[in-house]
Amino acid sequence: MNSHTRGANLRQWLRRPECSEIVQQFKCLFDKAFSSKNPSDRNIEQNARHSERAHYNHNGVVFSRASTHLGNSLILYYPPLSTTAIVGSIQKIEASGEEAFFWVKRQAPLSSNKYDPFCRYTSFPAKVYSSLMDNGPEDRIRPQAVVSHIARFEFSSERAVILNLSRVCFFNVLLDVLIMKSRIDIVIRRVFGKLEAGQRTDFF
Amino acid sequence: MPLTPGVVRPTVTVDTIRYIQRVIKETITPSWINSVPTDYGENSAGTIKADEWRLLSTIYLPIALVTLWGEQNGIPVEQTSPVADVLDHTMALFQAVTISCRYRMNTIHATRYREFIKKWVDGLYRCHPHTIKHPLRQNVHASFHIYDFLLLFGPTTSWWCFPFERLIGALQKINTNDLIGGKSWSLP
Repeated sequence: MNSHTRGANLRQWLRRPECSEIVQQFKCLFDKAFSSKNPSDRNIEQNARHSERAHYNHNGVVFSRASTHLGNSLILYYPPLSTTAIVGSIQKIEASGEEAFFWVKRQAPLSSNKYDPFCRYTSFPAKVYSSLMDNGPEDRIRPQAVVSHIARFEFSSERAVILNLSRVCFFNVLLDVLIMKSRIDIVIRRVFGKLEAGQRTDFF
Repeated sequence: MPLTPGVVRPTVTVDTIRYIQRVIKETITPSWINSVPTDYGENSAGTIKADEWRLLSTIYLPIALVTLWGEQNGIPVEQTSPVADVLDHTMALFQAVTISCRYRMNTIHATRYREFIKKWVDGLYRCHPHTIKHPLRQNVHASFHIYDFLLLFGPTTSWWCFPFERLIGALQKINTNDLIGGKSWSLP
């Protein structure tokens, strides 16, 4: 507490007009010797110098390229011009100024002759994929196209469990379809005046 | 129903625990997922805390048990086998926990939560007969009331006690001299 108060007093004194010239010179030397610790300043400097990044913070969530942190690179995302979310691993992050792009390699799907034991459990958002990555071209996506991070466990030489870690969106759309159906039912009942008074409605 | 020793075969063996430990060690997760003890099931792991149970039952245990009991080399196991019944029963509980930890709630999710909990309670004595001897616990009864709370208050994240647990943890870290009152500025 005492050191905090002294520091505040010193900063206030440095801004006052009666502060002596020699102390002002010391402040200039101090600023040159020790660079700013403000992370936003450092980000701006890095952005100006480098377009490729090891990490990128989007809305408080850190994404990394696979060579830096494999766990932070595994994502569920919407590829360009597609409405179906797929799984992949970020290979490269390009950032310049406010804009950022992820280069994502897709996870190869499970071969058709293999059984997915998680398909029985529709309320648990896991699927079995191939443990290999797809050989096709990488997708270039914006951070907004990412749904969530995923967890991956390779349980054999050729298969891996992919678990969607989003607490909002699931792989399967069954529940969303049911929710949509219930919404439509409510709207229809309201329109036709059949909604009973005091009936409990959903939390949307 | 009296139990005869030797008739009830244990479902979880040492090998199962070893496999669960392997899943905890080898599963690749993002950095915002907290760690759980990799020596789960052993005394050295210590007491598993509530947040660790949440991660175990929503990530590691389902992955381990489904890949261990749900298939063999890409071929589904017989649904009539006792292991398949135990797996379905256990997954009912894990799916209930997964639903209750969602950030979005509606009547469909809440109803599914209650169905899974009922399925788990109904099958408990069938899948794990040794629990007949255990005294009844209030947790099972309380878990059904969570359905009401989900409807009344929405997702559990908005009313669960983890923030208060963190506050208790922060308060416990403060050094005190066990004297109530007094003035800190009296110290030189």
